Amino acid sequence: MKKVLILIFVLVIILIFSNEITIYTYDSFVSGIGQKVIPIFEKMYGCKVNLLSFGDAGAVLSRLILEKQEPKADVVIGLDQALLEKAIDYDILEKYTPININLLKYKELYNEYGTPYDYGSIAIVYNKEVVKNPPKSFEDLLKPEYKGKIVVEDPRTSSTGLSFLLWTIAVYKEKYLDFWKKFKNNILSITPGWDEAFEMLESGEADIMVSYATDGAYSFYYYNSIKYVPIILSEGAFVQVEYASIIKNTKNKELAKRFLEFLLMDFFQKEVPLNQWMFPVTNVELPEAFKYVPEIDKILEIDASIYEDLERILKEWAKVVIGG
Amino acid sequence: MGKSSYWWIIPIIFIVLGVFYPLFNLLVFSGGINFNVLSENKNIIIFTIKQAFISSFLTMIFGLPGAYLVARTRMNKFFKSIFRVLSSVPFVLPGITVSMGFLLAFGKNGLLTNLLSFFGYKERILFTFTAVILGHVFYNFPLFIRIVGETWEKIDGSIIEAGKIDGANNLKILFLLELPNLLPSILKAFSLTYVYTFTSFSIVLILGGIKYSTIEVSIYMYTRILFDFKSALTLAIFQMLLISIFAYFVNFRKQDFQSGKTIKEKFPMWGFIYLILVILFVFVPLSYSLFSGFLTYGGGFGLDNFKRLYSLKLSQFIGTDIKSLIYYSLLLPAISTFIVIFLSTIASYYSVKGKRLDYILIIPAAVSPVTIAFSYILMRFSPLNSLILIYSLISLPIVYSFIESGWRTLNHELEEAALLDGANFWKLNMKIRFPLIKYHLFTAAVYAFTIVLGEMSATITISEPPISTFSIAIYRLLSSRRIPEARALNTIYSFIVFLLFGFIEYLRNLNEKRI
Repeated sequence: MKKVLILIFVLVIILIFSNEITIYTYDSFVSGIGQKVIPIFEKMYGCKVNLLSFGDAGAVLSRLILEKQEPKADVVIGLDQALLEKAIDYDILEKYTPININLLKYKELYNEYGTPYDYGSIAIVYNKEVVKNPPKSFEDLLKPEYKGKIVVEDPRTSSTGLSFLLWTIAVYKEKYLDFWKKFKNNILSITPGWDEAFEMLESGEADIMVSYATDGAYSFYYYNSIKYVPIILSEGAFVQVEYASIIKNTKNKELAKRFLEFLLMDFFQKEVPLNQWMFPVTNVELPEAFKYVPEIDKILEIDASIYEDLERILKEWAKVVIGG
Repeated sequence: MGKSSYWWIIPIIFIVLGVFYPLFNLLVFSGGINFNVLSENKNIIIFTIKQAFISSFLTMIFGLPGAYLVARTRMNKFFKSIFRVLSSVPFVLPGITVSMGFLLAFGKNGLLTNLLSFFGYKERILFTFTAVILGHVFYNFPLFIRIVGETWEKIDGSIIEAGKIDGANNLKILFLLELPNLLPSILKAFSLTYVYTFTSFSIVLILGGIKYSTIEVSIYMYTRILFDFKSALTLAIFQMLLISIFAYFVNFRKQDFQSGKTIKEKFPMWGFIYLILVILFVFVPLSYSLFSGFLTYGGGFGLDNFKRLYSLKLSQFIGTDIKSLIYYSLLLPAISTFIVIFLSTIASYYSVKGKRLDYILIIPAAVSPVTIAFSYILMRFSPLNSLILIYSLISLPIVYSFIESGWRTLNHELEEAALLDGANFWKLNMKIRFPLIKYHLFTAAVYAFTIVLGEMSATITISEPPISTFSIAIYRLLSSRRIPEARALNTIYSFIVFLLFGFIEYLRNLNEKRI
């Protein structure tokens, strides 16, 4: 009986809704998890999904802003907390709460403009062959023994770098610049993006970088060894949450809503760990590799008003660190 | 071309429609100009101008002796070919490949660090201003070798001989006879270097440590992190104006160029010292860059990355199949190379005849491709048209400079004689002009093709399936953290560049044998 009902439900949906939906997202979604889950969604609703990517999530948001008058996308995947705030400011998103939102493990991830689909923590990653006494806290990062050993991504050009800056704000509140004034003496270089920082670690130039908590799991999964070990500093974790939202004035609203609900289903959530290298937001089982992800004991929160103030923060940061 | 003398308007219209008009639209969209941003970025602006000037000046000092050696001395043919090919490549290498090369060469255990400390120099070079300059010299010195070198080879040996008979020594000949003839080409290479170092982004951030930042970094921040298009555009337009004004003043025209077969001097003693310096500061980082593809995860060396690349389902990363990847990676660069050669040939012809065009033709290099890409998105250009337009624009300044230097070497007497003989416009071009500047043309075409093939930022911003290119594949690999596979693909790209320049060299040698 239940199966028949589902079948009828699906048939009705196919008949009612238009059968094409355009989704904007970042590149690694298309080449990764997208390949696994999109065909399932297409089959479920008998529709065609145009999954398009234009670089990183920041580039995607720029594009959405430029297309605001005549949007081409129905759904955007991949805005984090900071980008979501910007998108709300630009008034390009539509409010929606999925009917299966109760699957969400952490209620605090909820946002009326975006459906959270994964989250992960920024971490400090060190080369365990060289760093015998790794830092455990932000205060440790200031120790003279790490002088010239740490590489950080530029928050003006990299989302990883921006998250790290926000992490320091979450820890030190309005005193974050005092931390940076001391910390800059230990920084070897500030790179435009994650790739270049990783190259520094690989070439042996730097021993410590800002990266993600799942790095160890990733390297165990792909290379069967862990040379670069992630740590979450003892002050608490800063978590990056990724959201999917419906674009305002979309013509395919119903299908877009179904897609957001789909993101919370097991079909999608169970693919999150090994494709996105993030944590699922519902109760699905974690793969073995994830035992190499450090435990998150405490999640640090920052005030949403910080996101409104990014311009001032980045300028202050640049003044203190770059000097210009 | 002689009669219908308004052809120069075609490249100008191209730039107006391809750059000015879209940027104007973006300006309207973002609601005007924000002048405050200029004073807020004062230090960064001053640093950008200063470092670009120092970088270009030193690149010139380092590049000119090389151009001389290639053009005017009897160097072993084989070594000369190798030198010419190797010194052409850095300019088109992907940023991440170059920075990896520098990190390895000048790093803790790098060959150069060891060598320098052997000679007593123990200061760290990486993450200082010196490293930024070295990076910029590395990137741009090919411009001097190619643009000035190709022209130098065309200076008529008889004027040099005449100078010698009059008792002038080599230095006098150089300064009084050769340099005036070369000055337009030198300034051309200088302006180009200035633009490229002015808009430099990764080299400054990666190699400079934490102290340095350029206008381009701020533009990136305003567009991609703060979504403040107004401030970004203000800086972009300001940057464009500065560079354009610079290019307006830094050019020099001289009507008569005595072209002919140049005479080759004995290879000088200082040439060996120079070659050693080039090997150390250019070829060593270059080899490290090229071989970074063989550097495996965790620091080993071997074919692992290539094996990984081979076993990877690449179609997953390119959003289409390999066939259309190859199709678009050949088609788009080919079309835009054709367009840009056509436009540059016209523009440079008039420039040589005395029309001031440099300050407009250089502008496409002064605006970042992403900014142009955004303006096209706003105007709803189709992805295919957008890409062809952007590709033609980004390679326009350099192709124009090459061909202009070529036109300049043409003898007017020869042309007049041909016209008297009844040669028509087509005959004049096909039989006289183009054969004489064919290496300028070939080099320009190879640069155009490889710059386009390697262009990443605008390509990613614009492409939609089924369009997928080589650089998209590299970007997708990097963004899904398949670093080893991306390195392998970058090394493959670098070898393609090598092969193309090697091919020109082969043609050149074949040709010289025939004569």
